[in-house]
Amino acid sequence: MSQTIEWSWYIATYLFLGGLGAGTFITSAVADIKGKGKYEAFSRFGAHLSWPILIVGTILLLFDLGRPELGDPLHILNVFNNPISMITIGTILLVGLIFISMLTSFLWLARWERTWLRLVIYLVGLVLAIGVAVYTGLLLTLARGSPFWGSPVLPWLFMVSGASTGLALVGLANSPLGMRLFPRFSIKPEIEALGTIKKVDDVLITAELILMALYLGTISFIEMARGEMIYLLVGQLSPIFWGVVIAIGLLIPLLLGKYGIQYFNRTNSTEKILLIVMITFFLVLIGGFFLRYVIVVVGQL
Amino acid sequence: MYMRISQKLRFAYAKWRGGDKMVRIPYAVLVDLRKCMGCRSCQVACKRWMDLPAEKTELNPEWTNPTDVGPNTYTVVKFVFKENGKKDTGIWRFAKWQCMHCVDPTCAGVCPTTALYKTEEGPVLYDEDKCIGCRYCVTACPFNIPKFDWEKRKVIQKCTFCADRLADGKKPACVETCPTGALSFTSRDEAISKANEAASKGAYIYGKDEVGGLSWIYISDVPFRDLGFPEYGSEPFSLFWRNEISKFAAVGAIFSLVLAGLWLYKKRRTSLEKEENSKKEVIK
Repeated sequence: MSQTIEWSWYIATYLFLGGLGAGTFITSAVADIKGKGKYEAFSRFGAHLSWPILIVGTILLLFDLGRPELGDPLHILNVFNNPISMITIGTILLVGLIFISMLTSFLWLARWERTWLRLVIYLVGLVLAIGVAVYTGLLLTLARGSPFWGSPVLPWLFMVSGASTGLALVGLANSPLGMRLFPRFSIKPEIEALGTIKKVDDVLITAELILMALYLGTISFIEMARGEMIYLLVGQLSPIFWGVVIAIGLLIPLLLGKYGIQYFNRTNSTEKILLIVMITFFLVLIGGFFLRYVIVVVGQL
Repeated sequence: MYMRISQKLRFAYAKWRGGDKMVRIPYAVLVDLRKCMGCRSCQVACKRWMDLPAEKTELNPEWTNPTDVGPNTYTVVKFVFKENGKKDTGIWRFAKWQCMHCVDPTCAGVCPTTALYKTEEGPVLYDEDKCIGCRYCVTACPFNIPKFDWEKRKVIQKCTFCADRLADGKKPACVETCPTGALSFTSRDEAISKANEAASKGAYIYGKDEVGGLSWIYISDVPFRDLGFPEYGSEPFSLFWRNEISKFAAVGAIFSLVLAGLWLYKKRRTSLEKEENSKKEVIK
């Protein structure tokens, strides 16, 4: 309904990076709490990757602001003025998560001990990370003038997508590729652990598909969003939606993971299995980005 | 720059002179679309009082011109042609469109900096010294009114309800200039009672409860859907906020219950399978 697209690439990329950074931290925390040392490579890498991603996202947010604040750097602190605004809440969560994830990253480098403090830090960070991933969706849901975003399913869709992309990125980092790029941080990829990650990612992708169907279902009841819905499903953006978000981002990773691995399992070629898993992770990342993009843009038409 | 100083000075002047001139009650403008003839004097008066530059307009199939409110246009008169079934015949209706100055405004609710705020007397105002330019209000406003001025001053631009004139004991510029009496400036209570009266005689009204009530209340003889007014429920933003958050929490609870159920089911099945397998082995 609105005529100007105010939020475009910067915001879409930020929403993706926010979800991704939160997702990598969630991966790190869950791998540490649940794995108890078994998936150390993943928790370590998740912690190291999370805060740089979040900081890049925050810089994009600052670039998107329409009022150049260079004259008075403290002007930006006005963002904390309204406690019910999702931007205020989100900024608090984001800053908290960046702080906690920097702390965990530092403590990993300092080879920290497995104590109750580590658990507490990870649990606090986990709550913040889920908050960041969810708020990126709530931000859109509460924008009343854009009915296409007005579904309570959207924040959960973004959260699951964030967790899935985070998992995929951590998986990618612990691959031969990641080893070559960050030789100092990586541990030799463990096929078994990667397999577990892939399985969890498959569950998340399935959940994402279900949530996507639920999201479109709830939106289809909103009469004012009908035009946007048509635009997304059969209009100009439909190639991106069906081709990139649904096929490349969700269906192909799911099916390729399942049948590709089955096929190569028979021929016993570990290298090829690894390659397939890496490809699916990469596709998941692409799909996650375009999911944010189409939803942000279509909502403002 | 000239505009900025002039507007600030005028606000300061009104504040210095006013205060005692103005009775602090919620005001409203009653728009009787049955009386509007589409002369667009309100558009011109608004431009004059607000010192807004002219906009290059284009010929378009609809007669609304400029097509929408924008950084340099705080109000437009929407021209709507309603066909009556026969070929090429119908009626024209004209609907003035501007910031509705909601009673519980969404823009102020979502604004992280409180740069947009609601005043006691009705106007929803904008403080550019607080604004950081996130444009959340632009995407969130139910009527798509606030517009970000990218070209000149990098501020949000929208109707101010002529808060400076109000403080000086005057009517808004558009009301002052309306030649047909379609616009009338009253207290909000009076506007509502007049609207109710019209509604009881069969007219359509808008703004009494939409998004928790507006400070611009419309009376029309054609349905507002035909005029292109969005249809909203009566929840004000604070209630909308609470409802959306609880719906979101409910969805999360249901989804996690389903997931937990599936997980338990799968766990039970694998344990049963294991049991059966071990039994088979014993039999063998």
